[in-house]
Amino acid sequence: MGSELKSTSPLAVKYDLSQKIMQHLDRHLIFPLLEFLSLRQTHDPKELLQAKYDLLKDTNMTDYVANLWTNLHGGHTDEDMANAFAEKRRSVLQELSELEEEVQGILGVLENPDLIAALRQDKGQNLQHLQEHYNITPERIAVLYKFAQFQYNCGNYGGASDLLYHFRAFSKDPELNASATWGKFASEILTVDWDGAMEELGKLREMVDSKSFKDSAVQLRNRTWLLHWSLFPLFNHANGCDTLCDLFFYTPYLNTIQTSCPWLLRYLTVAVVTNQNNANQKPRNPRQSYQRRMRDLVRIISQENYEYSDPVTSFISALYTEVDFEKAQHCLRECEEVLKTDFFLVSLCDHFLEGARKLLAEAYCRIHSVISVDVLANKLEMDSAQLIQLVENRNNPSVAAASNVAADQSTEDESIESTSTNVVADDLITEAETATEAEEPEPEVQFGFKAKLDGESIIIEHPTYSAFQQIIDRTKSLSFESQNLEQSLAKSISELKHATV
Amino acid sequence: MSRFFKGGSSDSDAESVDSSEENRLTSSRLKKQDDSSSEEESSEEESASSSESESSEEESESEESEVEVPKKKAVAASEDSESDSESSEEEEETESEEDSEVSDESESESESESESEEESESEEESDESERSGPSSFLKKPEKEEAKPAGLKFLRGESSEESSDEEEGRRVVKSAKDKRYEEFISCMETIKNAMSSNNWIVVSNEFDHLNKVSQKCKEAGRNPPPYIEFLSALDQKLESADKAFIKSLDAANGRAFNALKQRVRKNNRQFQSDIDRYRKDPEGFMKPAELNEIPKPAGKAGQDEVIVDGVATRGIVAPTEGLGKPEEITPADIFKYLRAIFEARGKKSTDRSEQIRLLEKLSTIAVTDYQRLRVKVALLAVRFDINTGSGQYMPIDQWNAALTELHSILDIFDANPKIVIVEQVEDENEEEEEAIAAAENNNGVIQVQGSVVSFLERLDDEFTRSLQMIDPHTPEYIDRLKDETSLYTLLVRSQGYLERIGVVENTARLIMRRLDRVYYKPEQVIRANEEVAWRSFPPTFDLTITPRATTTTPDILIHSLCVYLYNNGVSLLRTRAMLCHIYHEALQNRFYKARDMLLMSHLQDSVHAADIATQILHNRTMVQIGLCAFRNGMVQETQYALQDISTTGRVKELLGQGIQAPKFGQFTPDQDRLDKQLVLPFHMHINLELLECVYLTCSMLMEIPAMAAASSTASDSRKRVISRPFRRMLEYIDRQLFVGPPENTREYIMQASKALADGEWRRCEEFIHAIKIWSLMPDADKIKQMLSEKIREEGLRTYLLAYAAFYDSVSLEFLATTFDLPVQRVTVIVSRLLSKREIHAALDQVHGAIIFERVEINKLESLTVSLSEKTAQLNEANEKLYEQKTQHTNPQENRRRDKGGSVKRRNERTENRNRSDMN
Repeated sequence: MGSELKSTSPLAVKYDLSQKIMQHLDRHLIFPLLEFLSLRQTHDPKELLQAKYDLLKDTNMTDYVANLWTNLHGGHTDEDMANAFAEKRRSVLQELSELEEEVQGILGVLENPDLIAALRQDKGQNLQHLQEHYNITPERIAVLYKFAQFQYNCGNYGGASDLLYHFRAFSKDPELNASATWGKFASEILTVDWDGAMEELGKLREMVDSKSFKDSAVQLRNRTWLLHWSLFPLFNHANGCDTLCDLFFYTPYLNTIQTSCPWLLRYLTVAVVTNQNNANQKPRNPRQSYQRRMRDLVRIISQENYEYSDPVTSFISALYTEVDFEKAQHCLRECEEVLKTDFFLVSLCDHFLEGARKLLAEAYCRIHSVISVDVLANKLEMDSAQLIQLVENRNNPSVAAASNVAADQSTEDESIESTSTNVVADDLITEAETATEAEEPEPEVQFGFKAKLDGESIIIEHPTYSAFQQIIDRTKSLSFESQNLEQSLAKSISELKHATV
Repeated sequence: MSRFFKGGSSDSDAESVDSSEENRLTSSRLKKQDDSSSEEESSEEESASSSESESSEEESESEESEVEVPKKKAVAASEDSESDSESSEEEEETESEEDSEVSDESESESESESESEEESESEEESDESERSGPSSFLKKPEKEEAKPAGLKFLRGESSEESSDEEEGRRVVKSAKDKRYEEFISCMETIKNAMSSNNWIVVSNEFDHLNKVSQKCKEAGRNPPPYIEFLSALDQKLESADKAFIKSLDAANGRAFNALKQRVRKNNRQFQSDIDRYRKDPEGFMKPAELNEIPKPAGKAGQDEVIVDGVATRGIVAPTEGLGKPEEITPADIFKYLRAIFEARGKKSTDRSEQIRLLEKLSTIAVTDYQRLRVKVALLAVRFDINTGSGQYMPIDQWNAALTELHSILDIFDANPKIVIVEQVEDENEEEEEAIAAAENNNGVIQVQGSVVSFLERLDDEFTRSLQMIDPHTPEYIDRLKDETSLYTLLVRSQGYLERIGVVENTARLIMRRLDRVYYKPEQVIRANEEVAWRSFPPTFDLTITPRATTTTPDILIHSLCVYLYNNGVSLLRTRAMLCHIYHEALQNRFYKARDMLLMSHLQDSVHAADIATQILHNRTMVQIGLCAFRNGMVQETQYALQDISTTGRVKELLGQGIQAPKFGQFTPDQDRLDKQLVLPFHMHINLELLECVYLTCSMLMEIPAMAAASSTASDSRKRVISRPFRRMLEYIDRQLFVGPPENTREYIMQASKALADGEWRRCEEFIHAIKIWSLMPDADKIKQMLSEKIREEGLRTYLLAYAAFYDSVSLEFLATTFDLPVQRVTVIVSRLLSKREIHAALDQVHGAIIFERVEINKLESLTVSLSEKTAQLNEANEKLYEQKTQHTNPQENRRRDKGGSVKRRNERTENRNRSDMN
């Protein structure tokens, strides 16, 4: 494993985004990234250790920091440093006990069932209630926040999360509330509570979008943070990729990506490509359709090409903008290495490659009428014999199911990847109506591929695009659109009449 | 003094005289100047001989030349010569300034001694005789007033006279008599004209009279009759009331008013004489011997004045007008300054005189405060030297002003207690007062003035001189060399302003500095910077652009711009932004420049900006386009240049010249304003290159698009990418016979034709033959880039245009035909296929394109186009609806909207009917 990574490291290091992403993360969120990097052995372990130490030395996790320091200096212990650490530890513990004392009283009250029963929707009333009956002033509520921050710094994220929950329920200070939400989001991420994190993400998004910022630069910064932080839950949550697409394609966030952090396009690309499985289902909102997303993605990638490009984005632009299959395939090979060293994408790597190969083959078949079996097999990275079998099966549907099973059985000992591509190829030909239309304005246009085997080559029959089809396509939407127009006209006329009366 | 300069000054002199006749004369004179230059040689010879000979001979000579000329022209000619002689005066003045020993001649007539002046004098003379040709005759038919027949003759004689003077006074007697006669006759004419209320004649004659009277005052005193006459005239004019003026017709009234002004101005010189005359008319009329005034040169430079323990030589400075001798002590400086300030802005002020006086004062001044005050005044006067906006500051004056500013800065460096501010609470005339006032102000002495304003003025004058000097002459280059010293001064003043910390002024200055560098290539900026820094002491440093960190021009421009973004007012910020973008584009950083332009949202607001900023914006756009081209981005180039190039007024939009007005004439004012906006030649962007780049890019985009449009079944003309290109191509198409290309445009048009025919080699040849590519840096690389593009676009065009004639094409064949690698051909074809620009599919096994033949019959193609049109109609309707509903005032729109909707419905039903029929 190690040697393999050593050989690929230049590429992985070249496209390593950790540095860029870390700028926009909380120090506690950076920690998992560093851990991941040390696991991958792409960087000098000593440097990483130093980075970890620098990262954490200002936190309250004194024991761990002291440990790190010893590791960093090859097990030597320094008297002064040890004393300093001990000193710090003492002060931290002291502060902890002080804060705990203060908070204990409040928490006791807050967990009182009587109180919970008496609470209402209105925060102001609640506060008044607290003040009258339990002598809890807003200042004492603020202590909750302070303690939560302290806990967070100590690495006790669960505790911090709970405290912040309580704090938010009562505090009226918008500034502190905002940072409490950020804090809770971070805590949820670090406690690996993805559902909770998703919830907080929604809240934060609402907050950032609705709040009117005096300085648009601050809003931009907030959005940038949000985008980066959201990578944690979205790539781990079950339905994350779809949400990620929604979030990233939302115009203000898209602009944010373009202006301040184009590297996030890699994540967006992966999300779009891996999310094509549900391309056939028609989403409620046309914005969410796979075709639409792909088109937007292609546009943005080509726009930002000069600012940022990595194998993932250049795969898309090679495939759809330049239509250079050789290059696309080359990029795809690089993608594998890059994704395997990416903290967020490592789990999606195979999934992505699979999807990407499918896209490649689709685009390739669309403009070819005759392809040699070997070449197509090469594109799909599968055995030509398998491919032939597949095509035959396709033409002979009754056998298809059986042979599929057989194929599965026969390739049991093969790698998982090959099985998956097998499925891909099958998909390609059975569900051949999923071709993407990158440039055409109407994504509805679909093609069905009919493939035949002819000796060493596959012949793909393209449907002819007849005049009838053209006219049908063109006029399909007209009646609906005219109706819409008429309705809105009638509406505005009646409004006007109303206004004049 | 150069020919050019003289032309300029005499030109503007005429302009400053505000009557319209003078303006017309300007043009005629300009024509004649050419003649006179050819005449120069002969006239020089003539003058050489004539100065030797008797004046009577000369008289007869000039008489001869005049005899042929009808006397009616005399007025026109005399006006000509008047302004000419004025111009010659000015020359003399500027020349005599250099020579401080030359004693002053009172303001009007030339009695100077140098050879060159004599030459110029006689040159004028010959000009004059040239000038009284038929053209001026035609110009002045209305001047048929009675004139003394000998007038022209006498005038000619009078100017000859001045050159005689140094030769000796042999003929003084007769000349004097003649002059006296002329003098009397002139007065008679005026009196007659006055009684007949013909003020035009009076006005003209008055000028003449003044000239003659100057000649007459041999003994430094004006002839008593002249004074008497002046007094009478003055009284007569002053007594005229408004009703009287109204009773005159327009031209006459104008002449009257002008005359009144001139008499007032003139009389000021002779005020003392007139007063004396009025007191005692009898006594005054007696011969002049009694009240002779001692000659000024007598006591020159005798006394020593001791001030502040420093022995300073009191220098006799000539004062204005009366020629009284005076010695100036440092204490008197402020008195003189006050006098000069009071005289400022008045028409009668002789500025060169003031300058000479101030120069003397500055040598006398002892303390820093005095020196500073004098320098500030001197600068102001220097800038005032020419009031007309049609001319630029004389270069020697400009250089002197530059030195002055340096010395002012020296004073500030030496004496930090003195500061210059724009608003002093109460201005202190005397130094003691100033020092007293300074007591209240931490001992800081304030002087009124502004370094930035002076610098801006200096900078403006520099630009103006560049605007007016013919860029193809060595003078232009010489002038341009002065820019380095100006730049050095700018940098130095920046240091001063940073020290005293006036943000607003610093921003203005930084803008000036930026304006001087932004358009220059890196090497030039670097050289400028080096020269500037070398002239400063090593301790000198700046905070905005520190010596240590500002190592490259990029950093320099960046820091200047950033300072302006933070501190400038909005106009300066806009300009700084544009300059910054321009520089980035010049450095071939296309994306950065483009992003900055887009982010700044300048394009939305620039329409509301002033013209100079708009010009800068246009220049920036063009530079971005050229930058894109250098980077081989055809499409971006085309888009960036589109707006500017399609207007057909490129020259005007870039501030590189004025388009001839289409309708009617510009007013002279408008014309002048436009000329001020024209950039100096060295800042120009080569328009031919610009056109060449634009057309080449248009060709690369338009030709394949046209091929695609012609091959598709639908007859709808595809979107026109470049209108000028299409127009030119159509023009070429209409030609019966096309000759070999001669200019850039023709080369590109022929190349386009070749490309459209699939002959990419010929196209490449034509494009490479264009000579102007050599102006591009890395011309070879550009050509190579173009060759590649031509091949690719040629391939595309070929496929799009001739797809219909093939069943299949081998990729190998295409690759050899277009000299491209097979790989590249595959990519290009793939792109065409995937965008469905051609209907075909690839055969990977055999390496060929297989075309799908879709035969469309008439009905089908008609239906397709009908459906297209319906879709268009629908779109148009939606657009219309959106537009109408966007209006804020519903009341107003209702009617229109209803009408529109009815009409649209009709259209739609009509369409439906038609489709049914089909």
